[in-house]
Amino acid sequence: MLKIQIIAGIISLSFLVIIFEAIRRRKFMEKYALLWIFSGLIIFIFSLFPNLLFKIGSILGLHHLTVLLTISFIFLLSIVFYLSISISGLSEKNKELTQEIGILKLKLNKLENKSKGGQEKTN
Amino acid sequence: MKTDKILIILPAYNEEESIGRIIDDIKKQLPSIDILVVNDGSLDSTSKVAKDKGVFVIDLLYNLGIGAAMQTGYKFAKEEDYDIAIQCDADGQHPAYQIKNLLNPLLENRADIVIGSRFLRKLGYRSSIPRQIGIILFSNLLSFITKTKVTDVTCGFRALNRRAINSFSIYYPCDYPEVEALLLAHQEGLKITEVPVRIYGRKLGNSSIGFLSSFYYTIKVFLAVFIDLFETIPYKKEKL
Repeated sequence: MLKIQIIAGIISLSFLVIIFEAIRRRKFMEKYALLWIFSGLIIFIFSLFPNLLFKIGSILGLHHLTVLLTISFIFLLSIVFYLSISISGLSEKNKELTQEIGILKLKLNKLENKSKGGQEKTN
Repeated sequence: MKTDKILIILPAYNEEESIGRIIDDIKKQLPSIDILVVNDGSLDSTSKVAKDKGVFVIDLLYNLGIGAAMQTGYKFAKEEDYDIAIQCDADGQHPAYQIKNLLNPLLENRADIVIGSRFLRKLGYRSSIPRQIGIILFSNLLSFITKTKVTDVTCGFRALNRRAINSFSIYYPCDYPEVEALLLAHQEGLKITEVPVRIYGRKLGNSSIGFLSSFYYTIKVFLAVFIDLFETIPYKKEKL
């Protein structure tokens, strides 16, 4: 076994363990973790079978380091894209909450004023 | 027609110097109309000034941007069952005595949205050249798409009936909303009309569109309009 295989294997395994641990401690929602787990697994597979990289490289006509870079780039890109979409959704929900709170506060104020007025009358 | 419930929405961000005068102005001209100030996370005493005038004030917890502030007003108008909502800048550009002009087409059922146009008649409005180019560009684009003559798409002085309030309360674009909102309204089947208004130049505060952001504004609005042409229309999504 190559030295690099062992090192890459250890790195990807610890990566997977960290993700697993983060999910277990509820610091990481599963739906967001899936992409990371998937990329961890891919790295692990490649560290076990580095020849796969060479094969993909020869299919695409790329040097194997370039293949590595391309694959990691695609993964990072999809994760960042996914995060951007999640953030857009969050801002939208955040906006709706803020609007709703504003409207509710105004309604509450109106109610309080009304009931105050009513009390004064009965007194 | 006097029984119509009418709400004026004034989105305000750091407008403590002008908001009081505008409220007084509106009250003097149209005493029977409700006024709602949407305080978009102002850092000054906008909210207090408005509350002391005895009008409705919605305080947003932080600055959401003009579009979201406007939409808050529409949501309120919808929940409180208003017949007509008028949107108006809180910087005193839109004189209160012109509001009546905006209302007529709605009261006569000729339109769902009425825009106050600064260009329909020569009424002494001057603005910077890049902005005029932008307005002409987008007005022509929108006139072409909607097949209705629109001369002043960027004007924030508008009146809406129930149908339009409902649409805008469900979906309203976030920043630089004026142009996109009209396009979405058109796709929603709302009828748009313009009436001429006279508008004062800004005396206090800064316009929501500075010089540098004009470029961003143009690109953003183009993108929004372009995407909306292919839109799965947001109003159609079910919402309670």
